[in-house]
Amino acid sequence: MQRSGTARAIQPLVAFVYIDPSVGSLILQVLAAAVLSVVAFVGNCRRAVRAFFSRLTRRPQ
Amino acid sequence: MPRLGGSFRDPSGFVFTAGGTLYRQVNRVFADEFDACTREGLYDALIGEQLLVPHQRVDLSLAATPEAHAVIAPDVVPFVSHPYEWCFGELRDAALLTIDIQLRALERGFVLRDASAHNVQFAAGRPVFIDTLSFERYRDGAPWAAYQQFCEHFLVPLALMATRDSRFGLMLREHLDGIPLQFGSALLPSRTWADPRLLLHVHLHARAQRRYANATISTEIGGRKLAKSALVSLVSNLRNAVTALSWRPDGTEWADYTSATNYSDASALRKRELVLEYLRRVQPGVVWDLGANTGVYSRIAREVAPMVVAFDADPAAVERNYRDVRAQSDQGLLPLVLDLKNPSPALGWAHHERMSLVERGPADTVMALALVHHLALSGNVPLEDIAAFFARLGRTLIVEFVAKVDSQAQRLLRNRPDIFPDYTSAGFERAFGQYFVIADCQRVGDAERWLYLMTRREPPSA
Repeated sequence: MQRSGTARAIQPLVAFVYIDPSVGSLILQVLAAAVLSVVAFVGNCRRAVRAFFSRLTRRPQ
Repeated sequence: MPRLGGSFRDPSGFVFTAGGTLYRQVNRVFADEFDACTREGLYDALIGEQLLVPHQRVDLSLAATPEAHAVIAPDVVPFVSHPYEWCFGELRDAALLTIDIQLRALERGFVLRDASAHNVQFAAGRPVFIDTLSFERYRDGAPWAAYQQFCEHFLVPLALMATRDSRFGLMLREHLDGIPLQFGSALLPSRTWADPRLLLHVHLHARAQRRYANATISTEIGGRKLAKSALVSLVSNLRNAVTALSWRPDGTEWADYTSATNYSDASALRKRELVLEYLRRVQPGVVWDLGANTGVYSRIAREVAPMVVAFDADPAAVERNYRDVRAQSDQGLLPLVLDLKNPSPALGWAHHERMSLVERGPADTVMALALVHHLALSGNVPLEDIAAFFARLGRTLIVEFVAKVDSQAQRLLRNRPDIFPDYTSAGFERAFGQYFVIADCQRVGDAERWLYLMTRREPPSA
């Protein structure tokens, strides 16, 4: 029951898909994309913080 | 109007030929998507970047069926190759092309609706996407329907080739729709579980597939959405997974074969001169170099012929050849993996989806240099059968006969009794003379080898 409930939570597919994308693949995709988005977000934050501090340390020169 | 054998799965259109020209019909069911791709410049952008095969829109009266919304004439790819004939580098470049197209499409509000390796061909020395109708508008929140297909067509075979053996690419011949994730996951070495990208896109993907095998998606219930930025992150991660895979083409007998030949410098030079002389006499448009190894003589053929397809059974030799093609930006040389003793057959539905080697010919000229003795003495293929097959492949033939006393031929016979009494120059000429007219024969310097130029007697029966 839990499985089909999760499957139903996925957005409907577009009209002209003629390949079976498989439910497991779609579920993994949603979960993986969410995790990867967080990773990308954290990475961007780290880069922003580093850039900020590198600007600070450069300023006295 | 004959529809191409492999063009039947997609209801949005199909490829057909009429009057010797290749056309793609766009059906009315796909009209909105096709017009959107055209109107919003997706096709122009991808063609401009040389990612998509160019096409011209032609008159609707050329349509093959009444359901047509439009007809286009795509540029013809000079030689159709199959993913199971590609070396590691070719499959990897095809995968990166598919991913890059998906990212470009997403930028413009479109998405690739399938990610089959058969949608990629090689033209002008690089991969190009040939399925113009593989795009549709991106629907906000929708996942990528072709994610699994991409993994099965590209990522799994590449991971197997990189981590197990490059010959795993040949599994795509058996699995035309890609190597199943669960099968690929089971075949990959356990150390790949420690690779975060392969863990995610192959191993966990296979687990999820198995776990939700009986689940269904209701098209009536909306719900959780996949943000576009998240989808881009996923596709980018997939690109990184492909980029991280590598393979070093060494350690095989054939990849080093050219440097291990027994020619004197004078004989090697003479052979090059003779091959070039014969090619200049024939002036071929398309040359098939059988047993091309790393492509030394294919490059000589390129001095005369605009298109050379270089076949070899050794993936390492083909990989080296392909890397040279990319490094030199050679637009007319296509290296492919093919074992002549078991060449690509007609495959797929009704044997019509994927053409056999013979169906893709004949070539103007076939080159078989230092090959016949391997087929005859190692493969036990009778000379007459070799000649008959070559006559099906090409109109003219440049073939080298290596006498039994030659050290390379002796090498093949060192551990077995000589059961080849007909393998003599007279037997060779007798066998090939049944199918070809011998136009010229020259000895290759001081080597126990002879080079022949032959023309086919008549078109062989199928």
